[in-house]
Amino acid sequence: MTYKRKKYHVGDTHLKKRWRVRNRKKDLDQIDTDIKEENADKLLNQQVDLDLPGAAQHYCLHCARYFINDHSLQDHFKTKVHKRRLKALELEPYTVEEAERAAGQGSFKPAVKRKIVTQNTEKSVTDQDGDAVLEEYSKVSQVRHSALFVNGVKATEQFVYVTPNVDISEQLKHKDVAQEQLNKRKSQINLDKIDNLWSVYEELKTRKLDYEKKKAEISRDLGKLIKNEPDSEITQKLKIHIDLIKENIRKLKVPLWSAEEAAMVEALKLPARLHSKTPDVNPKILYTHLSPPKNTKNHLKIGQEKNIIKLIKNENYYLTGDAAIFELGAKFRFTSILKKNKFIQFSNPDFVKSLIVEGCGKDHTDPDSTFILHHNEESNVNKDSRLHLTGAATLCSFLAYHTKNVIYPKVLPLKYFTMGRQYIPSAHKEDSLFHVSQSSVIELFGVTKTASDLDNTLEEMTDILKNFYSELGFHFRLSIIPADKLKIWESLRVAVEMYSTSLDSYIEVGNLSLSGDFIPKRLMFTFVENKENKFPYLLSGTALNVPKFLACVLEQDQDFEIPDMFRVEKWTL
Amino acid sequence: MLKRLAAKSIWNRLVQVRFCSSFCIPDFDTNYYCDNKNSEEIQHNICIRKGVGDINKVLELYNLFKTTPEVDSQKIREKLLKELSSLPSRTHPKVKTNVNPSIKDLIDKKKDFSHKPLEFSEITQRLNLIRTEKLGNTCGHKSYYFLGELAELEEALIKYTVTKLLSENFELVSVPDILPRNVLESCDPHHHGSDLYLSGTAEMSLAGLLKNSIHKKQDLPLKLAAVSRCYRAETSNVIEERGIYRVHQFTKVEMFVATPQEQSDDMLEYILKIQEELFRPLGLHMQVLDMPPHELGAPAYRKYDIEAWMPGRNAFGEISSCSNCTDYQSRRLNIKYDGGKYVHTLNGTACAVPRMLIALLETHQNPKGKIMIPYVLQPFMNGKEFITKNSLVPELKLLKIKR
Repeated sequence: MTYKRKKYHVGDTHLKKRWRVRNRKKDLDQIDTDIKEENADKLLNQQVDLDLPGAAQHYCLHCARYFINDHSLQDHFKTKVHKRRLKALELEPYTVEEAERAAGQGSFKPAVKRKIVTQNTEKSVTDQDGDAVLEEYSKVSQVRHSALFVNGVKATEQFVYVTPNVDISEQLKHKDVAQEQLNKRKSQINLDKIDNLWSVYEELKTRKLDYEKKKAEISRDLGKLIKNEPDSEITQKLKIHIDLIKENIRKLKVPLWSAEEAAMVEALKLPARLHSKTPDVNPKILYTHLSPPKNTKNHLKIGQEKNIIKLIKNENYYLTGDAAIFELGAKFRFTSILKKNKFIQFSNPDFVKSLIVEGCGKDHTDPDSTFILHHNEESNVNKDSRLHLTGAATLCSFLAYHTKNVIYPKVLPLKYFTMGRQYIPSAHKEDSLFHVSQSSVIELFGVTKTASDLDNTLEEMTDILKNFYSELGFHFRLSIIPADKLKIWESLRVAVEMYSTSLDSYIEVGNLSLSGDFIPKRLMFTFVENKENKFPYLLSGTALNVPKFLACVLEQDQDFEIPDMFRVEKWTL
Repeated sequence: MLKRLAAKSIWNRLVQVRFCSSFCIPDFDTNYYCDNKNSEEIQHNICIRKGVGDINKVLELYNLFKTTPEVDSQKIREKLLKELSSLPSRTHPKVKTNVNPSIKDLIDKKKDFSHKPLEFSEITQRLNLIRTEKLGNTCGHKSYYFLGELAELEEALIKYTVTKLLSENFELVSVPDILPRNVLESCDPHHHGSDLYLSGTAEMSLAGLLKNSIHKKQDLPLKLAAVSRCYRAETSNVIEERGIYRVHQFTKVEMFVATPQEQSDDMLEYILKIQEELFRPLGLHMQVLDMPPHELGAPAYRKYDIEAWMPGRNAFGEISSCSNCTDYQSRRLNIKYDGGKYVHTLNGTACAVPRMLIALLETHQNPKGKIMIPYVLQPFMNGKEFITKNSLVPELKLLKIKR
């Protein structure tokens, strides 16, 4: 709770007067008790006291000052003095207990920093004619959650790290094509609604631009006139005109913010453009290796008999003995193949911020889509800047590396991979290795300059996958997933599927997805060419999901044993 | 020190509530703890440890519990169990009087450098092997990415360690990194909150695997090993621990052993021997420390730390530890063997990746800027002999947003 200023000696006179007891203001720790809800309530709704400025009706809680009217109070909120005070109040005040803890009595915990926000002076809306007020009120309290797009007032509360590049006017021009794509995805998004919001936003934007243009014109004329005939009638007229325009621009600011936010938040929900190869309804089989097993095995049963799987719940399972060696061996085998193919290895962090989660096309407020980290101490956490446990081997983690960064085009295409965990909250009630929330995986990540380069890289990577799975001698097939099964960031997905006899269906044990420039645009991952910022094209994929793969291998016709190339002796080269 | 921190940590909590598993009541050694004769010894033990636990309150509650009729005693019983669970484990008689760590052994000599050895962060920055900067807004405080050959070295270390442990007949286990609350409590009682937790070390998951089990004596000792991600809530800002010395997340290979009661002392020496055999070929200068009582976590009976010399820092840094927890964990998790006796559990770090990388890179740097890879790791890295500047991963430039 420091309160240090730059100008220490300004006004260092008449100290006698300044330091008199009657001039003493409240100290920071006193204000700290004032902030507590029960005290704050009293201070903000004081009785009329004619001796105090403004009859004690306009009080700033944090600066402990009275103002004469609402206007001056609002002006005060914008001053540096007030903001500096808010900053100073962030740190919890010093107490004797803290000192004792620091000296070794009890376990030391450092003073906590809190978020201090200016008091809310909007009076609660309880007018007689309920309807209109209620509507207005609900408009105000409507909370939109976007970690990616933050503007207007919210931008002062939250640090805006990246501003997404959203421009859907091109898409809206060919509305029928866009609508057809949405239909193929069986998406519920209402394009007309987005179109409406977007046009309102565009209209306001053009109006603002018009005003600004006019303002510039007039001030140019005014500049000329004011030198020659400062007091003429035209000058006066122009002055009034310019004031009017300024006022209009000011009035337009807030509506423009809300229109922009409404349009952007909806536009961010639009999925990526489909790739021309993506089939409409049924998966397109690219390749089939051997034939599916014919038995009625269940991997859990076999795992229990052999004592290599202990599955308590989807969230909590152990692999022991051969299964654990299988897990590591499969990963190591795959990494050695990737290294031979000039892929570069990464080791990533497991956490990403909300903005990355939303940038990658997932809902960052949904606890079923990612594990959200919760800290014990802080109760008031901004929903848009939390940490999410996604695992190191995920697309999010690679994007967290590249967000808001520029690369040079000569390094493209990039081919990265990582070996690690993937955590996804399990949505299934049924417990099996197919639905576990923690998986060991190999994740691929590719970046190219153009869409056609991307198709070539996809083919190259598909071949690598095909070779890896073929040499193991199990049945699998490669197929392109239809549009309605794609996630919003995907434009095409090639899946490696193995047959599960317990579920009597194919299971995706690996995949490769194209997402084009969808995510780079949202997270400002760019490259420079001819002094212009351009967006690269992305390819990503979970090349191998070990638990699903293991489950399928256990359900093969032949008895389970660790494939030769996964054995410990093969880990060295 | 790794273990000590786990005890202190405040756990991150995941929002989701999904778990609800049966809680088993620990079987405390009431004959020992609740006997007036032992109170002085226990009090002394609490004193030399971290001062957590109150033996007088235990005795008071115990007497109250015995005198109250069974119908009303439930509440008192709960209180008693709570007090009992906060008492620390007993301490090995040999270290009881120690105040400072005693150096048990010195391995190899400090390497002489013809140049001033650089620090890990400087080496990795020059060779473009790591990214730690400007990540706060995308993946949180103290995150790190290993790039290219450094990531390969991490993989090689895991392969090397696991291969060695398998040859020592350890059983490999793949463990969950997210745990329900009650498993954690039995390993370490100072947790609060509920729901799901991130595991701080594989020891907790491995102990959870053995929960409520009875073993035959001839099957013991049971030797388990696991490769897992570890999550720690605390980091530090002291200059000695800058860079990746203390981070929120890292990969670790952990050993966990359950033995019959009389073999645990020998087993601790065996684990230490394995650790020495693992680290010695890596060419590090190390010291083995026998830790004093106040450095032990609540479950530990005796603990050895191995510290490696990190020339760039010009200091020793802990790279592994092993401790004997006797029956502290097995009583709480109900792990028994023949005749209803509780097993003794031990655990040790086989490889904590970030610190190992610091020690390796700082020790094996050469004046030309290359990093020599220890001979034993080369087969795991496709025969590479040294690490050079990584030019494959492009360096990034932050985008300036024009408004």
